[in-house]
Amino acid sequence: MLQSFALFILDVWVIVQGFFSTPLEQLDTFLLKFIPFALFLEFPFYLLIIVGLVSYLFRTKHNGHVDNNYLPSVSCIVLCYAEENAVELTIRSLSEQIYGGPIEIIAIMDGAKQNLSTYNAARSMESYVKKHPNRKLRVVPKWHRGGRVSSMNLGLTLSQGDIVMAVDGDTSFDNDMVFEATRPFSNEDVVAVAGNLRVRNITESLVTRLQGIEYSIAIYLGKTALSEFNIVNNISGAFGIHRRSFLKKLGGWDAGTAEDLDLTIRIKGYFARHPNFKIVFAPKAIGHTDAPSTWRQFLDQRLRWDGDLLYLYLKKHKSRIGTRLLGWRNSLMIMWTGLFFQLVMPFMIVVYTVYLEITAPIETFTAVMVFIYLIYLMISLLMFSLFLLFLSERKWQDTKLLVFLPLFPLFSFLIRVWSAVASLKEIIENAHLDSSMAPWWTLKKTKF
Amino acid sequence: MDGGYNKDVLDTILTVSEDHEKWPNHEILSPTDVLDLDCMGKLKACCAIIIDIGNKAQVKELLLYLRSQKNTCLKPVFLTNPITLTIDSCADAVVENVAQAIELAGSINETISKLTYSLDDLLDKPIFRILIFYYSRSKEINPIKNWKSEDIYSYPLIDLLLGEEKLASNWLFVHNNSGLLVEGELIDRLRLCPKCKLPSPNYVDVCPNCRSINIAQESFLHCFSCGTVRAEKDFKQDINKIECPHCYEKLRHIGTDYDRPLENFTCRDCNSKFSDPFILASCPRCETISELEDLEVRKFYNYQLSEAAVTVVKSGRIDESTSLLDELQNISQPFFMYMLNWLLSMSIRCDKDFFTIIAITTTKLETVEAAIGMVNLMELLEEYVVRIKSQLRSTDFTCRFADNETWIILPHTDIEGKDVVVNKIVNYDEKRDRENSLKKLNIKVSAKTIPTELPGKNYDAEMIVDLINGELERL
Repeated sequence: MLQSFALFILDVWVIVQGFFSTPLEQLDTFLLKFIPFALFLEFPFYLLIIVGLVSYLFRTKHNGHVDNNYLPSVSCIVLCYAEENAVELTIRSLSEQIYGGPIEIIAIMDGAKQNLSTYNAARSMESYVKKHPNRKLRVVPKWHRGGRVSSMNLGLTLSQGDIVMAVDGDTSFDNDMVFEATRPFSNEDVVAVAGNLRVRNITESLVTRLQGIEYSIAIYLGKTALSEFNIVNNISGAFGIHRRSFLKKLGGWDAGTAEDLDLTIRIKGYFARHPNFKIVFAPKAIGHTDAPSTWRQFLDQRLRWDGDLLYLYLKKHKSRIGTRLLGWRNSLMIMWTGLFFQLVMPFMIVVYTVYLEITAPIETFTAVMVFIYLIYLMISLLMFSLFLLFLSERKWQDTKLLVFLPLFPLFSFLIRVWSAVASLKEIIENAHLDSSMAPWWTLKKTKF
Repeated sequence: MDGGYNKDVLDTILTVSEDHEKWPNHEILSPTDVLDLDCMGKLKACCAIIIDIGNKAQVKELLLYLRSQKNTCLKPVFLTNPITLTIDSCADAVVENVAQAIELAGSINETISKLTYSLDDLLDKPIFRILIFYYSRSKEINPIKNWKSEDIYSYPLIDLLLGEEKLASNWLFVHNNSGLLVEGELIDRLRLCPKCKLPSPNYVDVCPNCRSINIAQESFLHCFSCGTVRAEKDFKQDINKIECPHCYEKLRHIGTDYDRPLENFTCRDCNSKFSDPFILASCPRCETISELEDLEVRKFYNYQLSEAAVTVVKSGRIDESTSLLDELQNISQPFFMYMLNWLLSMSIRCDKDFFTIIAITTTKLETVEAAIGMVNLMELLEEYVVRIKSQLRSTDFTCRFADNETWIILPHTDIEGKDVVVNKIVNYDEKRDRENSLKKLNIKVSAKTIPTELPGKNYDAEMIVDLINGELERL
């Protein structure tokens, strides 16, 4: 038994070695039969990231002038639902900003009747904020629940700042966040800024640590690079910063789920006509948010996100995804990373894996899997190292994550497979109509 | 200005004015006429007085004069222009035309005319002036706020009707206790300097350690990396970042990298650091510095006339200070005598039916009042009543023979019981005697237990009362 297992390992190792040492000899098995084509489609993307990073580093080093005197008024719309005491830290971290300009904090309580303790927690910060010059807190109870979007739009109506940011009630911020987040707006062409998010409860469990690695690579590194080409994929709803005048013209946020991605697509809808418009990612504007801490919660969250993605790309904004409105760059980007990576590839990976499992001998199957794992591990290591060396502002804390990096390729694989499940669920069940982000009576009324 | 009234009606209104043309059909008095004693008859006879003078000081003088005179204190007096809250509150109203004045004065005069007794004698007593005034106006007694005055709140009309200044608060307190007034809404609560009674102390925050006022609020930051706690400005050497001056760590997130510890005041004299300064009250006039709990608290209420006060007004009779004694639930004197006779005959029939009779006299209340003032007298009486009450059982009965003379019958009380009760009543007064010889009622007590002390069988109630009275006189 033990001997046959050892032989199996040996066989697998020989094949894997073959992939590395003599790829051409193995071409028939490797390239044609077991082609991990996903890999080939992803390579250019990683290359794009590296080029973007180099561009960012070069630009910030040689054109690093920061205008300290640009101090527009800022309104922070804090979206509260049932965050309980966490909302206190959010408000506290906003009032503690070292930003020299005025900051107005508008905490909108959705369903304040049911969430009285959260409401009271926010009210309890009023005296604290009062002690800080140039900071204003307004707690607005929406006694009846109306969902995230209604809170954001109410906040937009009540806000007076030139810059409006919508943030989650369980997200807190570094003290230079507002300063960093407002820098890009000194350029008149910038209409929105995507804030950088870190996982606050990173040490809570394995799943939060893996999400921490994912945020570092996908958001911190990924968006920093994409921003160089003005193709930031999404302005996160937990931390999006907007020029108020422009957001007003757009009519604020649109009802329904995934309002953040929806708004991003709608903003990009102006890019073809106004090629000067920019969405910028501000890597130094950092927010800390709680990620799901159990596998169950994590999978639920991804089921929602990926399902909403399909809904937005294939149903709601089907007509927008052409070069006519988005411009060629963002159109290509959405086709490639949005449609292909998120929607098509998960199915291809699942089908390919199942196909390989059925047709190939078990040794070959295992060897291909190990090979793919190793390739992804190298890519992850490369990406994470780039992040760690050139971007991370908390280097020691991030270095400790390296221990968990070997698990990251498996985690990514799981995400891909799960994404296929989410897409299927959305296609079959119209799952976006069943979101926890808004009450059913509002979702039911949305047009798509 | 005349509103179409005929001369007969207008004749009953006296107008004090310097402008004769403005009041064509009126009897006009000049301000100096009013103060002339010869005019008093006219003032007394009129239905209402309208004061229409530009000079505010003169209006004030006239109004104060009218309200403080026995013959005019109840007259409806109207102004044509508001002066100050304090002055206006002493007049009945500010009117725009004669019609308004006639209407308002009508109801006041009607109420007063319904009183069946002669006001002349009663109005010598301030209490009648006040009660009848407010009764006829159906008004509440309101404190008037004037931030420029030293006391801030005053009851100017009460002061005027009492004929003495600054006694209003005491008077209201006493008559609220005596049941003539009912406390209404609490209007305000002031804190007064305990020394000079100025109600506007300046609150200063001082160092809890050395009481210096030289303190400054300074925010302190606590660096979690190295534990440094220093003033916020030390951390903010660069405009766009917070950096620990000790370990040079960049502090990014409140609560995670750094925090604000509570101490955020520094005393520049003794260098102590504290989170809450100590609050002291400093009197701007006499410069006394007091702690907050030492400040004198004064409350200002609205008052209304009680049912008892209305009865006093309607009947024209009052038992001012002695009304407190009624709390003893006295029985009438004839009934008391009847009960005494009955108990005597019971004791004759059966030896076991013994009882005690006690008589208590005090110095005449008017004398005490003259010596120590009404407020102190009321206090004394209150104590006196409480003391007697505490010695009584529900089967005992009391009777007031005179204002300063209370009689008590205690059925089934023997000599020992009698001594206990008498001692308690007398001793209390002696204790007070040592404290302040002025503040006392000079209680005298005489008591008899029957039949033990008067074994014969031929006594009747009157003889016993005379006997005890004789003893009291000898004391």
